[in-house]
Amino acid sequence: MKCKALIIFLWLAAWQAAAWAVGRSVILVGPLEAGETLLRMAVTAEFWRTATLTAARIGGGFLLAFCAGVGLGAAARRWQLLQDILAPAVSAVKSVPVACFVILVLVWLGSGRLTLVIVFLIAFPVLYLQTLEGLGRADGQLLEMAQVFCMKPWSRVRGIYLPALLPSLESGCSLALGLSWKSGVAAEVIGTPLHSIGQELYFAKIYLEMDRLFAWTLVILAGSFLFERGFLWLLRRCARALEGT
Amino acid sequence: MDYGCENLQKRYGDRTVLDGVTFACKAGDRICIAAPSGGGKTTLLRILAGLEYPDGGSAHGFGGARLAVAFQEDRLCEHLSAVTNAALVQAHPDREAIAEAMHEILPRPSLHQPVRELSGGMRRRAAVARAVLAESDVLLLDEPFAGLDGESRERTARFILNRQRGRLLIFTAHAAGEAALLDGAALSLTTP
Repeated sequence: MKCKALIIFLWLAAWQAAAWAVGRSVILVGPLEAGETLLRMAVTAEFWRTATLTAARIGGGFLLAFCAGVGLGAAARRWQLLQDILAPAVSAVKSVPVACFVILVLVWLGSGRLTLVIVFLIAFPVLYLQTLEGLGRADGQLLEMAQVFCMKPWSRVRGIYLPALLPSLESGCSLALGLSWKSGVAAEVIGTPLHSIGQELYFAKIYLEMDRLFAWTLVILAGSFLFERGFLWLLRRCARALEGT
Repeated sequence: MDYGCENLQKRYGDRTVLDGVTFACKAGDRICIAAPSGGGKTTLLRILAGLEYPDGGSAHGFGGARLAVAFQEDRLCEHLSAVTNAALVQAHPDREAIAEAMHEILPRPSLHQPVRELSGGMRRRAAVARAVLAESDVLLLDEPFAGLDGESRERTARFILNRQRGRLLIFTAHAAGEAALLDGAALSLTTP
């Protein structure tokens, strides 16, 4: 723990040293100035409104992707035909650059629902594929046991599938949440929906307010970290409750 | 209910594992399949359980029956307790009754621990208990006493016998002593 704090401190020191070396706040500001700006912003209602709305859009898109990814992943593991049908779509969504989707969504739906849709499109393939992989790791010997005892479907889920799925799903959620914040905010920068972190970053770029840009970046980092920790904690609690342990 | 098999044959590549196994039995019987290691005991049980198909001959009576199996490997859900493992394979489990029954062969504190924390012998007894306590017509036990010491074997054997209750019991054993514990009629598989 102490070692981790020391490493973070060293990086912050390097960042501050770089800012001092550059000496121009329109190019680079240090953590002290960024922190100061963040504190100044944090006392305004607009800051919380912006941060909350972006977090809600990203969280909403991720939750939709989670439900669809796990649901369709489980169904596709059960029915090979569905897996075959979904495979090209999932590959395409994985490969197409976010910017293409952003432009399409802006044209079709406008900027209001942009973040939600983009986060869904980015997180869904990760969660779907991790679900498929996790369920594929279910212990074959236990499945044979379940077959012989004619175990009920829910008992199979509790005893065999959930423990196989959970590690894959945890790493999938961790990855997808990180990507959600990155792609969600990137989409907001392009689409500039009202009251969004992306719009704030866009204005910071236009007016060369590097302190605000770095302050909002710190907010994104904190949001991503809190979402990941919070969601994984919730996932483990739910899994334990479902398994009855 | 009559059960049996006729002229069962099974080969893996060039190796013949079962060659003309024939027997007949009925509900309430106890059959001990005796053979040395690699002699086809597990293969025969897997065919009776419907997990493998024979290359020749047929088994009858087992297809429509409710089966309970203790596999050679324990095949327990590692994160769940012995009681929950037993409850999972029952249609209407009564957890208290399961715990009470399991206490005959397992110490009470171990009943609610995840089975991954139990010793090999305890896990074996939990796997056997799961099969014995499941509602079934046929009980297939693959080396139920493997890894158990003398006293545990006897207690486990009593547990099985007290709960056979008219079911057909087929089990495998390495040694004659193990067959005697469950008083089973010997079915010898001669290695071809």
